[in-house]
Amino acid sequence: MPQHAPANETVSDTELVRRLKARDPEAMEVLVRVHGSKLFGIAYQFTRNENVTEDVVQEALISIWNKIGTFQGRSSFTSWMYRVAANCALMRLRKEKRHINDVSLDQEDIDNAKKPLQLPGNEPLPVHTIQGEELKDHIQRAIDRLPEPYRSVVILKDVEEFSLEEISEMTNASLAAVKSRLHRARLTLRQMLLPYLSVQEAKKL
Amino acid sequence: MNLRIVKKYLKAARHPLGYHCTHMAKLIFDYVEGTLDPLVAAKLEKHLADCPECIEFLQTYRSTKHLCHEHGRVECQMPPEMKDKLLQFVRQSMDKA
Repeated sequence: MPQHAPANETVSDTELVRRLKARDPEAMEVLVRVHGSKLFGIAYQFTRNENVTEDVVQEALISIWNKIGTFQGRSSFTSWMYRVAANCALMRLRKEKRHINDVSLDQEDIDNAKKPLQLPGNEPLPVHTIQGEELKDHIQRAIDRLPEPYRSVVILKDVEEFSLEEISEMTNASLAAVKSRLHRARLTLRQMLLPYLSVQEAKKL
Repeated sequence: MNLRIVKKYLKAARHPLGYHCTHMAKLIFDYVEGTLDPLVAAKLEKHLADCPECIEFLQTYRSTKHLCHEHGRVECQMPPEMKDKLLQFVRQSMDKA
């Protein structure tokens, strides 16, 4: 294989998985060329920092190499790989102590399941008829204002569409705690985003 | 009959099916996720038909989820030089392995 293969290289996931399982080191280079951007994209949702994302992607690549034997093809390789990358990003957040201790939050979350979070300046964002990039920016800033682990749960479920069971496993939290956190996060976001949640918009859903 | 029980009956009487608004807050998560028991969901829907406040709450809750899904993902392209750095990292790691 040439040192720099073409950027538009196409290799099926089935073939890539076969080569990774056969411990072909060059398959790792194919993985970077074909899926590197996707791994970067998912890790960046959590870290919001290019340098930290680079570290997380490196950890994810090593993890994929070490764990490929456990991939049984029950989900697509892409979703399995996303999950590994998201796990690495969550571990990084925990190391940086942005992620509050999961265990102690479990009971608190269940007890307060119906209450929005009390954040400073939790008032709704200014009322404007905005669309496109401005709306996107407001929503992303609202998500970023959530404390951990609420922010991660929203990204995992409502943005990246992992299942509740997968999130429970990835965050080492009970299913009940994951549901409560997500519900509280949504209630809080609902308060912040209320000006954009016109009944007309909601009726389309 | 004590006052608490009277209040409970009066509250339920406002909504003949017994699914008054406090139930909505408890059930909305599973209802929106589609994990609510179908019989409970049917009762909840009957309540929704008579309660504009709960309908608005449900719509704005769903809309919040929808907006996060549609607009919550931060688009960020991997810088081209990072791909080269990752390839170098992989080669070094595989050499060590």
